[in-house]
Amino acid sequence: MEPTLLVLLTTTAAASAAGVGALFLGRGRKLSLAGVGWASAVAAGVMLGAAYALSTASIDLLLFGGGAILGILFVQLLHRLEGELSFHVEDQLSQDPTYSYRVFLAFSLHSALEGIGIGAAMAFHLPFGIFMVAIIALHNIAEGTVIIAILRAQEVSLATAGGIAMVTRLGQALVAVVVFAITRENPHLLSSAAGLGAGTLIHLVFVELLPESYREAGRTSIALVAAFAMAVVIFFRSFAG
Amino acid sequence: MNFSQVTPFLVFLQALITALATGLGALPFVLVKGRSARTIAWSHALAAGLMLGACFGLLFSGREYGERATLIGAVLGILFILATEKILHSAPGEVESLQQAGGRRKALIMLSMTVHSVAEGIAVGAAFGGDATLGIMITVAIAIHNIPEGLAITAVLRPQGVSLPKCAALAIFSSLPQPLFAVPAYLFVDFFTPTLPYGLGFAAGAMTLMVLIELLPEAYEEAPRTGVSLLTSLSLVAMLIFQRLM
Repeated sequence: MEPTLLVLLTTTAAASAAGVGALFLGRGRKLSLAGVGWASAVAAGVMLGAAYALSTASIDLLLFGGGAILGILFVQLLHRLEGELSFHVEDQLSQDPTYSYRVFLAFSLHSALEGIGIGAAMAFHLPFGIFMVAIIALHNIAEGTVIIAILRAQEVSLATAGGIAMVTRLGQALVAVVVFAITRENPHLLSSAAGLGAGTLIHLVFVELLPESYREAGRTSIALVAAFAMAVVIFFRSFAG
Repeated sequence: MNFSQVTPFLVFLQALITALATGLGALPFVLVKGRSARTIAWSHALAAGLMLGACFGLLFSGREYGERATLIGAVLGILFILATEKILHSAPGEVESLQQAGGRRKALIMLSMTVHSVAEGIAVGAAFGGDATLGIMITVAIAIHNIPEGLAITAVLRPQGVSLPKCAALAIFSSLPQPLFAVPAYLFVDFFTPTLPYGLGFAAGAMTLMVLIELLPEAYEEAPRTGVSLLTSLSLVAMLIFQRLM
């Protein structure tokens, strides 16, 4: 199979995993704010683990570092443009008519940035790339659950919410394919791309996921959930070669 | 002194140098005068990034000895800090004073950094068990690596009102396990080397939880999240690169 097609198919499958969150919210079940916090903490831990995994694969540390700094600054700029998103849906809906659109935009942009790391990992080494796809799929389930919970609070049907959650992840697949194609033809860009991916993942955790999670579920449980999620990723990294 | 001939005294001396280097991390705080809530938050954000970067480095080093053993050590480190946190926390129903919270944070960071030093001391001793050249390389790397760790310790202690000389002294104290464990690790390298990944992982897990449970939440409470996250992210990447280049 043409490698670029493999990247597209696997990342699309990972994006579809966001819809799995609907299983946790079926039959009228609701996710508490603490539950939203824990789901985000899982996503945060997975992302930190993914950033660590990218750093272990990179050969040129200075290029990796340069890419990471660019990724951090890019997310910083994006965050300034988006504004801060709260998970207190009822409050936000009554105060901010654009809240739903901002949620959709923020999650779509974030997932596109996450695709950078996947594309770079695929270009390094296929088993490592498949590993990254798998862990980002896990992370997509967690974030998809959060998106679906927010949409369900706005009385969007479960099927529609699941579909929207998956759509927000499509950028991941598209960006992964582009990054893979570019770095495959230009291997000297690989460490920079890995750094860019790692930097965006790291900064998304600290500027978006963790602050909101702490607010919703308290520091101890969030710390434990994030730390163990990171540990799981690192454990499976040992099998990825 | 003949560095081609490894002796226990040489190992002790080299490891002592690495411990003393930790005190240099306090120097940048000569320039930081204020102790406002905002300054404390920035210090915590800086310490959080440096410590997480150090964790990444520890996990990476542990890979060479055994990735799964490192991970088991990390889980144990997480559980250790959780248990310590519960012991140090005030009794249910009492409101914790700022002083108690600061004291708990001081105790946790000293504990996690001291545990970390045990693993580094074993690494120095085990390296000299290989050969003198490797031992000296590892010593230099750990000495330089200790400077930002001393910075991380000072970043937590200084805002709590600890004087700069005392911060430097406590930073060095946290690294004293290095010379203490380096000598037995050198003498019994076959026994100590298999324990190294567990020790490295333990230190990484303990520091990670400490960052997530204390430093970051405190920083977010007192300073804008964009600034906290930017400082944490950049210092994490800087520490990661710094360590891997050593």
